[in-house]
Amino acid sequence: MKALIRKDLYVLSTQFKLLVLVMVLFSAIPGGLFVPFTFIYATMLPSVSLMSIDEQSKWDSLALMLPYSRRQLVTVKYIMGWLGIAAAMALSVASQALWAAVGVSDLEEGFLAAMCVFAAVALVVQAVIVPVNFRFGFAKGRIVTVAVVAFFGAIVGASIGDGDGFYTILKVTSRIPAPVAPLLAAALCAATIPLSTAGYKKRMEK
Amino acid sequence: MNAIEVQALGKKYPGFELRDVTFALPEGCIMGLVGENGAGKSTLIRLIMGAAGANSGQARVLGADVGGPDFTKIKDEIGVVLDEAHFPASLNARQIGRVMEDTYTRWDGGVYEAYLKRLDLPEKKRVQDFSRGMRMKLALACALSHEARLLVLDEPTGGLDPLMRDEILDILEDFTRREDRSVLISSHIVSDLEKLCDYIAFLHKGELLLFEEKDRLLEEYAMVKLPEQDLADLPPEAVRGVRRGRYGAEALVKRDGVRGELALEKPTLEDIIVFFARGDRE
Repeated sequence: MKALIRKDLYVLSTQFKLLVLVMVLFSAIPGGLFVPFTFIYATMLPSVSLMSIDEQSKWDSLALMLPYSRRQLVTVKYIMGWLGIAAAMALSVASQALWAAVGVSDLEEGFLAAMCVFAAVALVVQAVIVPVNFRFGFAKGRIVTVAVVAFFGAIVGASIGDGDGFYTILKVTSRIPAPVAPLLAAALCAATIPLSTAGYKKRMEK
Repeated sequence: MNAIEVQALGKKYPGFELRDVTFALPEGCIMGLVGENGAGKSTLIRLIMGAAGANSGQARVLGADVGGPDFTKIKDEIGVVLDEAHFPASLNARQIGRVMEDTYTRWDGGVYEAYLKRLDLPEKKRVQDFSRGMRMKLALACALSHEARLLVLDEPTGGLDPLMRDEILDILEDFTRREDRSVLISSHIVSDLEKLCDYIAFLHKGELLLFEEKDRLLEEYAMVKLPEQDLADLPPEAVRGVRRGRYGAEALVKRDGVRGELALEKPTLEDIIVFFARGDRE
């Protein structure tokens, strides 16, 4: 598993610097309005970026012949997704706290709870798009990926465009106990690993 | 012990079927898997490596059932080279080495570096900037740097120039100097296999037409040239394939099945393969 994580980190650092940079920038914009987009990018890490590279380079064909199990090959993409979401959360909290500390912007009440809800939504999105991409491959799976991400992106975009919408989200989500939503979503996401493994096996049989 | 044992292995795909493949490769031997494009060589290799499940039959590699729970561990002792390097293009040889170090329990970084030097592969250049030959050499360096007992190579020399092919064949010969090491190599370049292999398997349209020791095969069969009307005098059970031309006919025959007065010529491995395929067609 360590080898697979290392390989994906190398791919991210060599091929997706821009994606990582955009995540950092969105998380760091004062006021936190663009923080949800950081999470959207994080959800795209495992499927849109890493899985597509595996397919393009045919790494997935080679990997099946190396001493990795199918389960490991699938699980690593989930781990990368979770690391991405954790990084999005850490970056967002750290940068918004920093802006608040230096007086550039205020840290809105319920910001942390909102981060947890964003993380939960990102995990649910992953639970949908990762199994689809494993079953049908990136070329077909990206249609579902784009549709799901666009759906959530549109909701976030509309709420920001509405002006007060983002702050309404903060108010509503602040009522949800912070760790509950992401933990439930993480459990749901992890529960789809066997589904992804079965889908991956079926696709790679062809 | 056999390095690879395959028994009645079969796999169905829409429009293609690999049928009833049976052979055993003894440990320490090199087996060449020959066949035209689409004959099923890569499918057979995928089945042997557990990358795809068989519809029928079974395979054992280094004593373990392919598809069994222990097979992932057994892969630690197998080096694999596919028809392309299949490493992410943005990585360089050093990064790939680090990934392989975490992959194989007996990875030897010193051996890997020595291979990179011997094969003239830059450590910091991205794979995407490598030529096809360099990529194949990189894949080979990875496959040879973890004390593998078995090498499985799927068309490693396809599309390479003769010099590069020769270099790769030299490395494979070095690898098999130790008696416990075995190789399965597929190719449609028969001359490469003739230099290297102890056993030859010929896969044709999904069927294993031939599996035999190379030297025995070359002793067992002979070429005979004769007027076309004399073909009928050959015992049908001795004839394996026939080619008719403007100036007569050529046939691949079993030496011990024909009369002694016929002028028999030693065939090349390519003759045998071609005539087996022609025989099948006729």
